[in-house]
Amino acid sequence: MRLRLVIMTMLIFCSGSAWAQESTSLKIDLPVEKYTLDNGLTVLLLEDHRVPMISYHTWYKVGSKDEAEGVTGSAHMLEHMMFQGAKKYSGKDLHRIMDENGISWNAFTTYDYTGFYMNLPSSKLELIMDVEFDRMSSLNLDEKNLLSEREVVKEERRFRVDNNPQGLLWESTMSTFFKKSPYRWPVIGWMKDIEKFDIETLRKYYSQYYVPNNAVLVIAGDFKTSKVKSLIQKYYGSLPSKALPPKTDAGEAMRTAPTFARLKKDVQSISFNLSFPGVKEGDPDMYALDLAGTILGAGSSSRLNRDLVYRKQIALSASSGHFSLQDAGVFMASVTMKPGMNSENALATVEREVAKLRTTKVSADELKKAKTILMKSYVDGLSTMDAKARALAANEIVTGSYKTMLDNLEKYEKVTEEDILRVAKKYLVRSYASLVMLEPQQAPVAAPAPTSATPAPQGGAQ
Amino acid sequence: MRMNQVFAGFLICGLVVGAGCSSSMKGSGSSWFGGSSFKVQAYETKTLPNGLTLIYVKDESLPKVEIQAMVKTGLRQEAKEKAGLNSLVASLLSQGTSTRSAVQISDAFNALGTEFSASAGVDAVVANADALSSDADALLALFADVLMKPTFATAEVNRLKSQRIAALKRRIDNPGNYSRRKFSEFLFSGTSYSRDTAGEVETIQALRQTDVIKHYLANYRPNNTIVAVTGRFDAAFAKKVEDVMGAWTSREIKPPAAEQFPVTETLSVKLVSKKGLAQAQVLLGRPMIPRTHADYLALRVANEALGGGFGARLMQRIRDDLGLTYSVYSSLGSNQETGYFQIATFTKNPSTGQTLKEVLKVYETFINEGITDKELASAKAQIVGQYPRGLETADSVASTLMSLNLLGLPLSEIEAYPGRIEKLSLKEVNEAIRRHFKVGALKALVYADRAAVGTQIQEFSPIVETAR
Repeated sequence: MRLRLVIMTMLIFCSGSAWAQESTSLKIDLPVEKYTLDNGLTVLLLEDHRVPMISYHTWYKVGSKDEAEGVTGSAHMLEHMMFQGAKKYSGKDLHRIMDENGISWNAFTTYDYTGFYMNLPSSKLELIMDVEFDRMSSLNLDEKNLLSEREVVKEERRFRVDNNPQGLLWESTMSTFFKKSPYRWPVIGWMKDIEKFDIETLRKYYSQYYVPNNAVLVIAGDFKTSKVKSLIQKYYGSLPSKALPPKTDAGEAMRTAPTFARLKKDVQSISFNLSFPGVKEGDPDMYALDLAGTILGAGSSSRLNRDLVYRKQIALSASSGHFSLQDAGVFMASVTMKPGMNSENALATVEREVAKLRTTKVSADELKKAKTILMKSYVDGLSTMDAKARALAANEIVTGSYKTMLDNLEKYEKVTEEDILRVAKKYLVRSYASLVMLEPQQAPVAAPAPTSATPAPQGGAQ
Repeated sequence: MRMNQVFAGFLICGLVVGAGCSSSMKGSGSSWFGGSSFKVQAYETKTLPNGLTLIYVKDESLPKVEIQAMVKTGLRQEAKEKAGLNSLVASLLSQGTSTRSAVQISDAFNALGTEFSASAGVDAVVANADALSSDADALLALFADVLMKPTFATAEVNRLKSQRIAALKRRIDNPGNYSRRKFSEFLFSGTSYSRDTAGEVETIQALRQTDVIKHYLANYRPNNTIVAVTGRFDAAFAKKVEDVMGAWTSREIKPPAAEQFPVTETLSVKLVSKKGLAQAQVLLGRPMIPRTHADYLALRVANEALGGGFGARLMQRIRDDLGLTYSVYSSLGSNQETGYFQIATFTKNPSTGQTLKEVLKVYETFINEGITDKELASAKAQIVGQYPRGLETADSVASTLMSLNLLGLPLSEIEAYPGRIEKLSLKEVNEAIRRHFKVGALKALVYADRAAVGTQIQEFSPIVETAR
């Protein structure tokens, strides 16, 4: 035990090759060069020659939280349109060029940002810059392409949500938990909004948000920093910056009474998510909440899994965790019952375990275990070039500096048993809770009583 | 990494996650990589006197060590009426040993920040766990204990049986997974490979502790196992691995009975129906040559052009031109004794028939005309160009080596692969297409709401089945 603690406090990540183990402070150090072009483009470079490839990430600070009612899913739809071609490279050309040059590419949209990435043989770097400059500066937003791509996105929505009960549960969880925040609608958007996307809305989003001063460029891998810097200047230097729309805070005040939604679907067993308010990324309370979520429900030996899955044998899975978005966070416990089991006992157990976090200090061993799990997942998440680039981009965008992630280990290490108790008392309060149940059409045995407050069902998404 | 973990839950990918093809491919010293050539990380192999194969891949970049074990036992090692036994045994490894209870084992692995995972594939069970290098000894002690000394207590057997039955009853709640399951059943009908590795409710119910113990003793033997150690470790640790694993007793392994795999000569369509589905899953395929066949790489290249990625024919036509789906891929899969070719997509109920017909058209043109010079060059570029990514970490090198060995290939294939891909001519690829594909010789499965599909696929006279 003692040995591990000592090593844990000596993690220092050095330039792609070795880990120095001399300091007693807990620190990851990636040799990142960060700078900003005159037009506001943030650049992060991580030179690493492990494999002759480059991971090239262009992320924009626009996500579903920047949308409004009626045009939900716009950020995601625009992401799709980025594959339909620009001034120099048409959509068909792009796919052909990527294939011919052995490049894989894709993108994703989240509540807070939109990320485009490519993994390429290192000799193809300049080609990619030309493509990404083209897409950033003169995207071809064409009505005809939109009509076809809208159908693709509708299929995506059916696949992820409408034909997928667990996707529905997630959507309803967010829309029940958040009442005012734009986090309440799904990243992919409501189907009714997808059906009526128009090209003008997307053009507006593109011209407002796809500008250099709203983007973060991360290049990781096999290149010479000095050479890449001059290429970046050559390609991106001439792009003008633009005034950005004012940022609004997507957070919302804690509720005063619990909320509840019930979904009835053709499923074999009950699943539920019990959510409490968490905190936004980088908040000082985030570290203790993350650890509390880990102790409660991460891993086979966690409190929830041990009790509901192993001991009582009533659930197929039971987990919990705290996740932070840019402007808000959620602490969530998720349980899937065995078919035929009602959820009453499991829900009571989860509530009791959450209450225990508020009243009783966790043991030193549990806290240490949770820290090890979190720290090891940090290390695991930096195993490839692409993963490093993602981590850098996400932290840079959400917290304003990639360095946050390097400092996080130290902050986790400092969390005490008292801190866990304090944040549990502050956030894991029943009157702030939100419960969403996914149930078979014919619920097994009695319907569950959600909480002692017994809020009236409000109906979830859809 | 926290950010990644956290955000993974709600990423919406613009262009879908690839269905991908089977694992192994490579690219050394190719022109793709400019000045710096790609070399697979150095690895060492060794066979102990008890027959255990060891693979070592050292990687100093992270203070981490991982142990993986591949035990060559799969669907062909379990009787039909005991379906799911192999997978149950794998899950039971960590549920108690002669010196540790299930609870102690789970506590101990979690304390190292890891979880012992043992997943049962069609041909092999792969187990792994990792830890910080400073915990290497503790990791080895635990790993060896669960692999070599599980006790299979009755209470744990019953607990996992009940867990497995519950999971099997829920299979149907995920349309994508469920349709893939039904498709394997259809494609390999009557053979071991048609079965779900997790078994069926009835067969799991009938399993007893003695089945579990017998299966373990017959298959979990050093001479049937490869262990890989990867990451940061020293010679002394390797010696410890050999001492601990060297004590495992070997036993003669009975080869599984030979099987006749089905041949698909005509088009047969099956409609599996479930009320209320909001989308139709469409899968097509046929049994195919195994990985060791001389034509395999030519087909691997051909498949890349047909349905390997965004620029491939299927994606361009079905998604980009017609907007019928979000994802359409073709893939070549390899099992130990055979292989399969598969196209998978999904679409809204009203376009089920159109999608099936359009996919068939693309497939027919592919067989009749073969691929073009340009497509050949692109396919090679993709396969060779992306090869290093699959071998970026020491544990991915080790798992690729283990797969090669499982599928009956020499380990040197990991180095030779890209060169062999680059050498293929258009003639070789197109001849291979003609030899192994035939117009109309496919099995197709549609998983949808029969009422919503209506008469759209009537002309194929589908076999209709109700999902359960």
